[in-house]
Amino acid sequence: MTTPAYLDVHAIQTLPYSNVNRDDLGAPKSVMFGGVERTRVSSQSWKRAVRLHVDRAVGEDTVRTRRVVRGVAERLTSSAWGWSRVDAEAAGLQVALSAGSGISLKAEKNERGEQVQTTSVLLLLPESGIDDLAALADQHRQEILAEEARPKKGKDNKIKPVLPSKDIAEILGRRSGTINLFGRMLAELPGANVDGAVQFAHAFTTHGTSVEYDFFSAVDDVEEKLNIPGSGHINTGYFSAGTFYRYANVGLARLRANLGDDLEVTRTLVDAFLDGFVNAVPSGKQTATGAVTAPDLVYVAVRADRPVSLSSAFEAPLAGKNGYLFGSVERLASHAASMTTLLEKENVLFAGYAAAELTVQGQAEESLAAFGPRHDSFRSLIAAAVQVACAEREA
Amino acid sequence: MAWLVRLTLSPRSLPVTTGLLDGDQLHRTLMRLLPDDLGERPRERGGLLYRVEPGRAGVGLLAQTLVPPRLAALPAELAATARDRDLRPLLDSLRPGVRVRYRIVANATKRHGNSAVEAKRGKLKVLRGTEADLWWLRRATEAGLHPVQVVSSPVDDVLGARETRHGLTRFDGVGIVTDPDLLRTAVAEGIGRAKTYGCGLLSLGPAEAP
Repeated sequence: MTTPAYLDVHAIQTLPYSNVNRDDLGAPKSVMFGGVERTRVSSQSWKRAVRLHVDRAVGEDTVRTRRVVRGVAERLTSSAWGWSRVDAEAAGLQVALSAGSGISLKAEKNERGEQVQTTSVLLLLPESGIDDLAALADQHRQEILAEEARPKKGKDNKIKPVLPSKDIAEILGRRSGTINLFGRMLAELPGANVDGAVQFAHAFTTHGTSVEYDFFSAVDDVEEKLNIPGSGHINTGYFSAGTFYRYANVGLARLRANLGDDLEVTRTLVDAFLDGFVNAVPSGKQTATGAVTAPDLVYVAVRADRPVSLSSAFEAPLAGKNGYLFGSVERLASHAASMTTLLEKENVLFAGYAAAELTVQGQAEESLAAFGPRHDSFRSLIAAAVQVACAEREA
Repeated sequence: MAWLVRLTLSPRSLPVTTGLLDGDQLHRTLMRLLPDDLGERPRERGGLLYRVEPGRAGVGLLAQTLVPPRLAALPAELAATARDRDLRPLLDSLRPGVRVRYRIVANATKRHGNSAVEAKRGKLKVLRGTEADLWWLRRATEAGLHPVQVVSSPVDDVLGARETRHGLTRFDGVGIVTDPDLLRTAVAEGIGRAKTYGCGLLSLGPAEAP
């Protein structure tokens, strides 16, 4: 039997009138693909929604911050430690100063106009790490207070770092579940980089959408549309709707290596990731649009050779006026079938899908064969996929 | 009778002189769409108006003529992308009370009056910001279109003949047709000055009911 190497997850998902991910002008992001403009939701946007979902699922928050100084100081002034405000601020500064040469501090104004010290780089660490930094500072209370009290004159006019930088680097370099999944880029701290195990595609519509109003084409639509008088508010140019193709994969070996070969945690994370991929929707403009749909179809494959994106199924944009869902699923299934054949069937260790009835209604049974067996719920699909993807290695 | 022509060109092939769009050169190119025998004031008689529309997929050019456009007379590069449409169905469908979406790039100006300093009296002043918006509201109302929404955005100046600069503003929005006949005339003749240099083409399209 071959080893599972990658887990591919594909989804067809419709988003109604919405603008979950905007460009610098407030218009939905777009991409030219197959010669027509499509609406796009960037991977970083959707990935963030998934990351928050996974954090919640595994009960471990990851913080992304420049304000470690403040975070540490706040903890130290709490009743558990009972530091005075001034001392706690000094301890916070010490943490950042001792972190290593690559990380420096700069003064910035916060949203209330107060002066705060922020780190030169955006740190990404488990929330619990901030507690540990505070604990470390507490252990070195004497040194911190002594350095604070020392008169800063002459060439010794700067605060000197007194905390052990090795320990701080260790804490800042700690990983949470989502850091192991999505990776971390922190060149300033040697050894803190983590290669992500997840590759996440930008979602795009399987059909053309036009974000800009096209006065030339409007001439054709005239007889159809120009009828009802009315009044009110417009901004239609800045919203869009469509049927999206979404794709991501998990490099199973990389993830397992990131996790020190811990199979149980690997399982939990892959499961949480798939759950997030299915359930999380980016939050942009959601209070105004409520475009919080679930995917109409999710297809998961575990492969032994390489990850395979099926985006080229939609290189030629879908056309027509009877919706795009049916056509999208039809195309995805036929492309999945030919890819399975082209890349040899033996490499697919698992295939399965779950879909809304409306989506697959009327599709010929054999045309969906490449998707594998159908599951009743996303949950049972995920569980079955994880079972195969994170199997015990044979001796 | 009116036709709308769409051309797409690469940003590099747009005529630019000293950093500004050369409207004069563009005008001369687009005049090829009209027949040669139009006599005095050929642009006006042929009803040529145009607008440059920068987009994600290159630069679009919309041109409008009152005589059948001669696409084949354009330079080969432009002719390859040219498409034209008869505007009549759209113009015929205008009725009082109908909501339309509009777009116009206009040269909003007024003459300095007697209160201006001596040197400026009688000269043209380019209007910007709120003054430009008020100009458009007045001109639109006179043209049989009641704007219910206006989004105005600044556009780079355009160069006319002898390197004169013309200040432009783009107006987008939704309006309600009040007088179809006046509006049809405004579409055919254009609104405001600098019509030779890409100003005054009023485009209409159906607006979705809110």
